Amino acid sequence: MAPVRFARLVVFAWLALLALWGWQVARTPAISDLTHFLPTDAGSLQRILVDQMREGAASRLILIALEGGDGALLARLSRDLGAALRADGRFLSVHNGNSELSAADREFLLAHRYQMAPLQSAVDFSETGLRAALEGRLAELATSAGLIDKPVLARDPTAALRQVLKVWVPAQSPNLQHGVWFSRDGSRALLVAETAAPGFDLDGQADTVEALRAAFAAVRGDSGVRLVLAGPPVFSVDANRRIAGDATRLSLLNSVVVVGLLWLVYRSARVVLLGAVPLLCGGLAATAAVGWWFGSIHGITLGFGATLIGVAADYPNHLFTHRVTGEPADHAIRRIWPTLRLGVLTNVAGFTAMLFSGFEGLAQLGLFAACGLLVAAAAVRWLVPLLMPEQVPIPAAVLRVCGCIPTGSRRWSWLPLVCGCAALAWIGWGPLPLWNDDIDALSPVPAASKQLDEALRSELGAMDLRSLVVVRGSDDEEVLVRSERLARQLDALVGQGMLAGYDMAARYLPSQASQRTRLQSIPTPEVLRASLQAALAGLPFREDAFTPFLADAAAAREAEPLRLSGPLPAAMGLRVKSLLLQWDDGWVGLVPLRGVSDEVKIQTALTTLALPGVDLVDLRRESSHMLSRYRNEALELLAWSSGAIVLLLVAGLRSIATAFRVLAPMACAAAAAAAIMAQATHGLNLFHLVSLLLVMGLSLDQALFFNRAAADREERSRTLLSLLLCNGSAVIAFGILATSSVNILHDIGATVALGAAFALTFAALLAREQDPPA
Amino acid sequence: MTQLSRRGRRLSPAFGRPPVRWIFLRLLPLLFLVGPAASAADGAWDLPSLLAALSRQSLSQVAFTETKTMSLLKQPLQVSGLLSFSPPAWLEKRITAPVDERYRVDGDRLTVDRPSGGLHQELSLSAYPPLWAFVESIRAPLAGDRATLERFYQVSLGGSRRNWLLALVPREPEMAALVRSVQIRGNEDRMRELTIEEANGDRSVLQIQWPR
Repeated sequence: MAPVRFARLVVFAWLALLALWGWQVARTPAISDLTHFLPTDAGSLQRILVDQMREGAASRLILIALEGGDGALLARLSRDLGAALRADGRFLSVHNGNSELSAADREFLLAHRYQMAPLQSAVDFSETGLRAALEGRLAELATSAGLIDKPVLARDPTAALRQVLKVWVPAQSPNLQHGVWFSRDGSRALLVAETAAPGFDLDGQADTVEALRAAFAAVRGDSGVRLVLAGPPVFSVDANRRIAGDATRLSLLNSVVVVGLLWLVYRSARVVLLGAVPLLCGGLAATAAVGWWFGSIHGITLGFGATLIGVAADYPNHLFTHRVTGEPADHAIRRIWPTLRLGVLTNVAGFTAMLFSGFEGLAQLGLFAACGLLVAAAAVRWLVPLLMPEQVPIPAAVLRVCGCIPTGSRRWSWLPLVCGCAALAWIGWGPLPLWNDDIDALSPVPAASKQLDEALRSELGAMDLRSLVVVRGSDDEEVLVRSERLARQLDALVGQGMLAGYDMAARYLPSQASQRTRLQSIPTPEVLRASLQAALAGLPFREDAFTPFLADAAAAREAEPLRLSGPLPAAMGLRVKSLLLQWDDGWVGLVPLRGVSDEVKIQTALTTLALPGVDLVDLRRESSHMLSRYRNEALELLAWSSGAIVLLLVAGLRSIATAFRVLAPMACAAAAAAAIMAQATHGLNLFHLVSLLLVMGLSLDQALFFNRAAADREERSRTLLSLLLCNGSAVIAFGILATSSVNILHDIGATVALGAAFALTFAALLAREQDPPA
Repeated sequence: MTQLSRRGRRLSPAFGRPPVRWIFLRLLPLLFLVGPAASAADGAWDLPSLLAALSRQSLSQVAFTETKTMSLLKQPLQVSGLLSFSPPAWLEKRITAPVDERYRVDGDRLTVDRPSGGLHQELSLSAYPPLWAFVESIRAPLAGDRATLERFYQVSLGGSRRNWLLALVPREPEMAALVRSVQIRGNEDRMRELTIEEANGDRSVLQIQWPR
């Protein structure tokens, strides 16, 4: 029979398509790289910032605390853990106060002490300067601590090495006890580890954090000491695990409940399973399309996209419920197809606008949603009817109950509009801002962990990107020169108490120019010898005691400045290179600020100074700026697509009044959900926006069915059943998601559940009153 | 506390220059063993009994003088001050001349105060192994802490109860690079003189002036 052969052909064609999509999906890498969510015209400051978050030193820092034992025990464990981690290639560096600089590093610093001395402490080679230095050393010799510095005294009577060491082993580094870092109250031993895996390599970082825990378990034995971890690698790994865990657990619960609900109505496992087919096909095709067009798919696209095409779960339900007993499936789908098609097309039109976004992330999302919905609808139209059983026996009682639900009440039809207007007024003139652009609102890291991170960070003086000065230049030397100029200003701000401190590459490696100046400030051997002789007069030092000093100074005069590309010891090179990077065709110096008391004052101070190539980047402000740009673009595109949706609806329904009945509940539901969520969560974020898009999609689709002219009372009942089923499953599924403790999942769940409930109520109230033919 | 004899024979600090002095130092305890006949009458005299005797004594603001002979200096530097110890781990060395400076060690924590320079510094001994070893050369004998003493030094004891010599040679290479040996002399339960021989030939002799 021709139809049977045709059916086989369709199924085979479909299977072939599925295989093709599957193949494309298999070769599409899923990435979690934030740069794709940057606009293509992002400023270089923003790109530097994102780059630092992706792979900079700050994105690799794990702050480690050991607690729950006496000092000696914690110190021993800290030393053992440090040794274990240093032996593990997954850690670039581990610091715990123990053996900060190797003997070779010290020797290197001693040899280059005159050129590497910090800015503020240039050595005074004059007679008075030398005299003061010698008197100081003599006083130290009387004391016991003089013993430590004595071996280099003959070479370094001005204690220049001590000044250099102050930079490399800073005095504000944590409190030492038993030879390792401790918190100020002595209750925690502290360590800092830097992972080899960069911030964007979640799997690598997860592996590293796991290795850290295993190493601790091995050194801990049965001592009962606890390991406390903070820092970006730990948080992102943890957040990822919590989100994945919650999402899996709640989706499972969702599926059980929704499948149960569907089974109650359809009493057929085949039908329930068939209901999932369009959504799965849509998801697969959408992923394949994004992979094919963009070469990869972003994890965020996948998550948000899967949420957005959730509306496709309704399509098969419309078909199942509208099919009258004994009616061929093909006939049933033909009846509802015009309505379904209009719903799909308007939704797709909505997402198509996103394709033109300058943000690759938004464009991916638009393509994913549009493609997913089209394929899901096609599956419902051409595939599902072929696979449906002869009968979908819907209990008569269910239909009867649905038939009794009143719709299109004239008395209450004002309610949705009033709610919508009130919501809009609340949004427009209410006490709260509609949008929350604080990056922290998007962060899934719990508040307790953030506090822990801040506490450990302040104890350790660890690098933080919260406020960062970026120094740009055409080459490394220009960056260093500009950094040194900046350092003088920052020192002044530190003096005024506006800043606790800062870090910069020029502290460790002064610019060539400064090194040259310092080396040239060393007098000629004859002059230095004469000054030294004069300074020694009357002091108990032997005349020839400081011959090694004269030799060192003479050698330094002839030395070449050190360069980044030169022979720096590995550990030192690493430190400098984490703060001085090649960027595009220039160089960038990072100057993280510590303990900023007033961001605005620092900004003003730096702006007034107008140092060339120097910008203060406030992570929070910059990321908020990026977020709001992202959101504004999404809203602008949404406005365009709304126009298209209205035109499509008016054309498709051939009635402005009906189009209004479809659009009004959608708009009112979205506005009401937005107002409530904005109030509840102190402003809407990106997750709310995506959820609202889904609400609008669901609502549009459902309102179209509400306003579809029904042939008889039974069909009306079937439509109502369909809508209750679709809406009920959405409210249940997202309501369950709203119970998650992860803010992202909670926000999405609550918004959609709330919006969907509003949408159905409003659509029912605004639906055309229908007097089915008796 | 019983004080048996306050008469301690003082040895002349003048030894030869290395390496003769070095060999001599190593042999010194042996010389003491075969030396004064009086030692036999004292009964068992070994490290545990010395440490036990020392740990019964406590120091409170006992005056000391320190003579530092250094290759950099034309003449030795004279330092004086007060020494205090309270068991098990509290030690204070207060220098009163030529500068005013106070070192206080409590457990692992070393506090340095120099009122004239406004200096106040706290550090952890375990972070500075040579400094720690140096502190333990005085503190561990006073505390009678043999384990700590032997952790840092090879210990040998010579002489008699009335005139003993405890010779310490650093084990840790970092300390050994600075200090060749520490010799502590005393009689009965009193530490009298502590001589530090540095690796570069410098030496310092600290003498404790017990009240009469």
